Amino acid sequence: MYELSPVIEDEEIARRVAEQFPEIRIEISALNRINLEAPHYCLPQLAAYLRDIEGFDHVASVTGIDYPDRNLVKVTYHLGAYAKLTIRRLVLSVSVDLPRQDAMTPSLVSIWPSAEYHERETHEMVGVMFEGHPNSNLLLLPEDWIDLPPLRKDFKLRGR
Amino acid sequence: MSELTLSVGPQHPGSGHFRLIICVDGDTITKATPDPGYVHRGIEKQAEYREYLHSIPLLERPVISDSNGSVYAYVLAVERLAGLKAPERAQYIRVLMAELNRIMSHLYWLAIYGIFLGHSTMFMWPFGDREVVIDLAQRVMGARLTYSFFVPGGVRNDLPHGFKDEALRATEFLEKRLHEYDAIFFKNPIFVERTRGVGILRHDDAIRLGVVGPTLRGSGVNADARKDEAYDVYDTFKFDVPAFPDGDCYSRALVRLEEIKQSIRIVRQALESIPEGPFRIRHPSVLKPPQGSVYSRTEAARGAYAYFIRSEGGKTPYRLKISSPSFRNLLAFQFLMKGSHLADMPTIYWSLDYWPLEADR
Amino acid sequence: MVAEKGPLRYVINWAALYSLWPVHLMTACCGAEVGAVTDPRFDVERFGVLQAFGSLRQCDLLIVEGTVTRKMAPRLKRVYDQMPEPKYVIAMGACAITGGLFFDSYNVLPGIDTVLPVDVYVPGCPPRPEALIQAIIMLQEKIRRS
Repeated sequence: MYELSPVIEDEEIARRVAEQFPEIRIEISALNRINLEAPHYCLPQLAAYLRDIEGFDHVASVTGIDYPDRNLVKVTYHLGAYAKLTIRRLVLSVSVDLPRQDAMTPSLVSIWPSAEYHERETHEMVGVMFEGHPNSNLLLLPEDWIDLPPLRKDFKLRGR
Repeated sequence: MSELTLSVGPQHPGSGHFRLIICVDGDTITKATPDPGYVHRGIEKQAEYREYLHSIPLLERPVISDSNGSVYAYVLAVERLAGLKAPERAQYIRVLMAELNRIMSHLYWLAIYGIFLGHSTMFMWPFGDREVVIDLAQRVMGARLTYSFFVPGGVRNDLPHGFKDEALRATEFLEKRLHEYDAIFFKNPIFVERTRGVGILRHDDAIRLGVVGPTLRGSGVNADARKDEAYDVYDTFKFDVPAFPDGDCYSRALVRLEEIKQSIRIVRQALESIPEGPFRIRHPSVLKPPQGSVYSRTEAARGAYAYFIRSEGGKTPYRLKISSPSFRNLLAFQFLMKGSHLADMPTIYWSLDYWPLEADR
Repeated sequence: MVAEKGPLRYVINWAALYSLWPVHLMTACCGAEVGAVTDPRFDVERFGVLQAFGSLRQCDLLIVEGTVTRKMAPRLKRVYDQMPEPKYVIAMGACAITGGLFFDSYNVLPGIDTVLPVDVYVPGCPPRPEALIQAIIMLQEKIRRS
């Protein structure tokens, strides 16, 4: 069923992305895992390329990690593919580094509708603004939440 | 007609610990907005303060009816980070227990679907038969629902003597009962009438919305992390991934019925071919994996469960992200309920098998 | 009340304790064991506890299963206030008693007795269905003696 072996196919995908977007760092960290690190301004074009040309058709999850010592927040999109059978085994991660005080990045809901609730959760938990997101209300936290975003490292659990 | 906003709230016979804000125009639903968060316990933040092994009871609790399914991916992720590999007998035992949990979870789903549709016999029969499988789990793992049995490096105990015969008897019993469920429920004209053509999710919409699990397979996409990731020893078993193309509630119900049959098949194969050997490797109880990140996926009963762990070399994870199938299926609520009748709301809601605890974590 | 003490009180209590109807409020994971307690193996209906899936205005037992979060707490109080007198509360599971496994979370109440008056506490995580049946029998004893 597969024309190329998985390892060669991963390298082919990495090579094609590197040709199109020279400013991106690419790493094949393990079997079936490719990581990309991109600056936030080229995120929409990269997303459109990954969806239309490479065939990654949905977002599996969005993670936000707070690094207070490096003064940045890293937002990672984990992408998956259903329609293209040869890359169903792959999970492609796209990370952006954002400044901690003013973390803003373009929302990818217009390209991948599946990212809507994940971006909303990252917004309330880590405090990242997604420009162009249709609904930024609190999703999981209580409606009267006025404290820091809980997954920031400044927010400490009581008693610990 | 003017619009009315209903709050199908946390206390309602037709909802779980979850609220659906529904706008109705007469009898037609014009908008359905999910309002999760009533059971948001902050597990991701708590995991940052606990050692890797101590998080296992915490991470079992989201999906209590399928607790092995939710912890499996975490255990695989920690093993990959720390560079451990479970012995082969342990991998077989893990697959066996995960499949028994899948059967338990689908029988629970079937029972509650019976209640939602007003078929109380269908509530009693699967719940009673689920006790047979829970007895098997108790024999091996010691508890009814929350086991803390999977650990990085293997499993905590070995299978007891005589387990194989008991398990094979239980699978024969379940197969007979599945025929009876077919007769009273799946071929019941009222059930067919209420679910056929209701809540249709087309193939390309399912892909675009990124849904997982039986919701996805009921729309014709036969993606399953057991085949795509091939973790532990799943690649040595012969089993099918059922997918039905119609995309309505009836297809999703049939997918789950077929999955029970395939799980029974895997259980039988695992019992026949399980090798002898150790069930756990020795490692220091305080794991300190090197710096790095890992993303692992497994197929729980409700869909693909994934964990993203970032470790900075300490005793506790720097960031633990849980990607649960119910959270990924939340979009389907808004999409499917629009334009349907109000009376179809419980049918569609439970056919997605939304488990609020898992979505809220 | 018509008769605070005396034979009529005994009859009223007898009627109440053999027909405890729980409210259909699923709070958290212990709800799976409340479902199991009504199944053919454990069968709590023989004690009169009927899963009356109707309105909460006709129920008199509130089983708080599991963790109560800050978002859920006002709704829990509202449900309790709407139930008719006499009403009873069972706190089921370690999370309802002290916050349980989630004691240090930012969104979890440390036990529900800060919000509601509790009659019976059932420890366990989750408690076995037999433990829940014992709790119901203890509650019935309490009603009989009141």
